[in-house]
Amino acid sequence: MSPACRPGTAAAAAGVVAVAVGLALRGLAQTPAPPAVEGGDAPLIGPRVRAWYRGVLSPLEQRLVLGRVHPDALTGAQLVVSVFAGMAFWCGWIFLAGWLTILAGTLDILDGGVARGGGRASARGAFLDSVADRCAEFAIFLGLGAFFRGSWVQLAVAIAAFTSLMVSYTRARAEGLGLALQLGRVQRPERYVVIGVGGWLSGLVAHLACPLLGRPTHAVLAAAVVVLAGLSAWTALRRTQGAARALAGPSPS
Amino acid sequence: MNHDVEPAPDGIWRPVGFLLTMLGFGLRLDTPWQALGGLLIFGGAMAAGAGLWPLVRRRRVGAAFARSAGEE
Repeated sequence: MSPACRPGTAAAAAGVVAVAVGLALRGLAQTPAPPAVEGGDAPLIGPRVRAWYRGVLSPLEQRLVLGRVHPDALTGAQLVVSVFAGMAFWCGWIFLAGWLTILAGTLDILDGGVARGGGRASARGAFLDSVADRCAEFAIFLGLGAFFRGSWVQLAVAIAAFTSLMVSYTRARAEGLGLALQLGRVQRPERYVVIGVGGWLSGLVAHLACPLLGRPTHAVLAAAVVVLAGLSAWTALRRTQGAARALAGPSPS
Repeated sequence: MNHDVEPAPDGIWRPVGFLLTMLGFGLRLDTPWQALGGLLIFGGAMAAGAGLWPLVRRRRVGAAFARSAGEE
């Protein structure tokens, strides 16, 4: 239930985002590029962007480690924020939902960093983190599905939800069979970015174009969902193919 | 990462300020909670300003040093 058009507020938000993007590009240019992963299925978010974002979060991570914040608390916070993001999508609060999705992704990065930095990394923590990640993604997709109810985009949301789950499942199953399956165009950070930035931009565009169109429309978010569905399907297929090929040899038993 | 050293406070305030500002804009754009949104934008702007100010100051000091070195 998105309220009235607010082009003025959207323009102010766009101005702040433009300044932030400018600062981010400057920071990115100063970040040394780590060695890229070989192969055609490298993640969409390259090592340089990942290194830059970790650098941005590093002081916060250090503060959390010094404050003895438990990584499980950050995992829990990620889950709660994801549920809020799903609720915001459901209500049609798209800009807010997009931003909360990005925040949830950031907390997902922070919990691992704090666990390693504080010497608290454990198999139990990794397991809980994976379970929380799946629940968090489900909450966001549920909200998206509810927002697009009655539209063809709902089918794209369902495909994106299924294929995202398959991306994670194929890797987990392959690892269970002793195969490391790291590569893939769209992994969890990419999913957070596509949905988060898609929602964020969609909210801005909807409010800015609202006086012309008469009502907020979220074509950008719909496009982001379709892109995510396609890329996740491709990633899941490539992983399945790669794992099947690697496991095709004779069974060791 | 060395966790023995105290992290620079301005490095924390920049992302926190941006986070609060965007949350505020989100509330202002999408929800009826206009006052809370305005408060978050104000708080976020203050925090981001506190984080950005040392950067601006360092750049000014650096430019002043470069200028005086050029004059010599």
